[in-house]
Amino acid sequence: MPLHRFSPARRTLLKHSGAIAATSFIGTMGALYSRNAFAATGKQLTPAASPYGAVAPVNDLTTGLPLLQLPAGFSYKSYGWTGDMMADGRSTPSNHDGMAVVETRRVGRSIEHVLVRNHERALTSTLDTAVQADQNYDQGLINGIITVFSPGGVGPRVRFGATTVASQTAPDPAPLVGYAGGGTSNMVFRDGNWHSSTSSIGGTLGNCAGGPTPWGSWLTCEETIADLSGIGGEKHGYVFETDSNRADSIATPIVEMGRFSHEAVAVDPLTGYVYETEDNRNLSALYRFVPNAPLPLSNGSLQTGGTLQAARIKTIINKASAATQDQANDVGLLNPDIGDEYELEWVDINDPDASPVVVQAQPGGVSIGVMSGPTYEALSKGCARMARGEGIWHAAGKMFIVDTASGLDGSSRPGRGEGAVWVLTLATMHLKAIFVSGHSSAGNNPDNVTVSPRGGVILCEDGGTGSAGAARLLGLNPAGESYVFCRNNMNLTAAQISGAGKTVAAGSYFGSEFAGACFEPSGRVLFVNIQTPGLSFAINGPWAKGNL
Amino acid sequence: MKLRKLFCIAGVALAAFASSPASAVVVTGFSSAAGNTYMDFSDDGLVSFDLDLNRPSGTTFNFRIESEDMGGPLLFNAVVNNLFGSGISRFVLTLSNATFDFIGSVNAPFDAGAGASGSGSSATISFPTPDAFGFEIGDPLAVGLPEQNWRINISNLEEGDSFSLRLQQVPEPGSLALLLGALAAAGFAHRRTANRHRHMV
Repeated sequence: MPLHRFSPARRTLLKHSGAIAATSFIGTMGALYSRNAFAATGKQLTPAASPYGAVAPVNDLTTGLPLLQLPAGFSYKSYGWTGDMMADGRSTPSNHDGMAVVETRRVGRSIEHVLVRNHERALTSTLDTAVQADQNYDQGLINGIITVFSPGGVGPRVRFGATTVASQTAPDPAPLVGYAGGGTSNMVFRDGNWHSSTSSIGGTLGNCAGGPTPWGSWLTCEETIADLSGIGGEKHGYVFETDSNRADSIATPIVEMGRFSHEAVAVDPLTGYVYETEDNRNLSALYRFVPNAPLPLSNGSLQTGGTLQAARIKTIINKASAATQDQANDVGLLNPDIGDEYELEWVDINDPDASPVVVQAQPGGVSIGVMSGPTYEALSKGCARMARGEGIWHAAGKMFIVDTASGLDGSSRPGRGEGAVWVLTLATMHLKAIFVSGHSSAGNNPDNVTVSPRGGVILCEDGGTGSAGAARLLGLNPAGESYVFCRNNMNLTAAQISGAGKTVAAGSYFGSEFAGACFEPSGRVLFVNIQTPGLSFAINGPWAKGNL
Repeated sequence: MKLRKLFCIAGVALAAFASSPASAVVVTGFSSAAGNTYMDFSDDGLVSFDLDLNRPSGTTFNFRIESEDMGGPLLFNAVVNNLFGSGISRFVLTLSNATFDFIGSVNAPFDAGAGASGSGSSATISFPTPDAFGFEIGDPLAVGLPEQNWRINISNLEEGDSFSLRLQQVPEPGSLALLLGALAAAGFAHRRTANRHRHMV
């Protein structure tokens, strides 16, 4: 049956309705941030009331198991559990992470959505247990240790093997041995049902999150800076492009997008600039990539290169506690209050592929750490430091950016808190904190983020069980206040698992993170993953009751 | 069976397509709320469409019978997409100038208990849990059993005659309460305004 791209009329309609909702929402958000009930205290300490009501266990329509807690009227279907057989004859890889719908199309009279899903995996013992697709990057057998040195070779070194050794006198660790086990898989959701899945890129490491492109692909991000080229493998820490048609994926790194602990990316559709987050505690920057290729971009365009830039605070617009511009860049983003706002400028990075370096005495109690080469250059140029950049999502001219560790811990160390959501308005380059959690009940280290076609923000928690007792999906109401939309309810016996035909281990997964939240264009279905034991969900319900 | 026609129509008010060159069942009118659209997949002896409901509203199709449609009941199937995001408890289908010959299957991907019943000119699709995704009437995607197309009896009609089909969703109780509340509030506001105008006079 021939493939047809999604009906233009319907797509236009959906875009239109989404745009109306989003515009209304964004306008409302701008007006209401200042009315956040928690703004006076700087951080939100308790969840707001959910417009959808309380959550309660709901049985999965696929397995019959009570895997999630959801508001009344919502239902879901699980799919793609770790170990499930895929259409290419391979087992579904573990460690489900970032995800997005990259294409919606008609196949005959059916409507199907193609999703790309990351698998955040390290080394595997055999090549067969690594993600293997039509397109693979690093296929070598890795065997050895890697060493990172201080700038200029003056100062301490850090050695990475089976363990990490920062001591200068201790013996070498046992070697790293194995194959790059990460990658992506593509899934098809057709007419309200899960249809199929296949591997779509392999030979990568730590595919944490990434982001969809306006041209129908997925940029998958390696959250590592491991250079394995001297011990049998390849250099890692890059961005790759996975296509909705897996044969068109490109297993060649987009080097000029930078080599660092990538988390996620989001594309500004007006300029084609790709905004990038970095997840390396208190050693992170906020980046964007300016492609050389002219608009409109397409699959492979980013391979032609471009300029990597890092954000620097140009003006302090509003900050609860007084700071100089240098102080704001150095530590201002590590412990924000609701309503903190800055104007950003962008600084060129000369060497996006620079090697990482060992640094010492960094903020937040980082006595010794490994900083990526681009970030070392960025911070040397006075750019802004983030704690742990995580999810990023574009909607209606704004980037919603999550820093999962903003805030203070019990020892008042910045960059070790419960997390925050920043909104970057692209027209003005104003960066504003719309949500800052001051307690795990209000937000327990949010990670991935998405914005629904109606303009509602959803956060995926990654802080373990926290005070709530389980990982959750949080919504942000129009005032920027978090509320509970969904709770992880996975506590499975061996009998339940075997009865459902699955092969994962029994036990409680209450603390396992949600990841990869995304909607299809009509906004009817929310897709999301639970990373461990690894499975995906399609959730439907009366979304119009609230703002999601 | 070849696909004769493919229309994608935005429904604002009644639209006439009497001059359509196709020879199978012809849609001659479509009435629904602004923003609601349909795609016509009708063919010889088959009434078939995809209906996208962006607004909760009753929807009416008018059809004209052509020569190729005579000789037996019409088959009927449809895809109804709930794009307005509120739950539907029931969905009522009402024929004018025709009757249901057979009530076939209903498939709601997120509501396995959905079912249909009815006779004569009326049929009702019921959802144990209010449906917020959409559903298939009959077998529009040609899946085969257990999906079965519905049948419409047009034995009292001749070539060139018309009949209509009205589809009306019944909102879930919560939505209904909200709707009634809104209507009551609107009525109260209207009465206050009217009273104020009377006092001004």
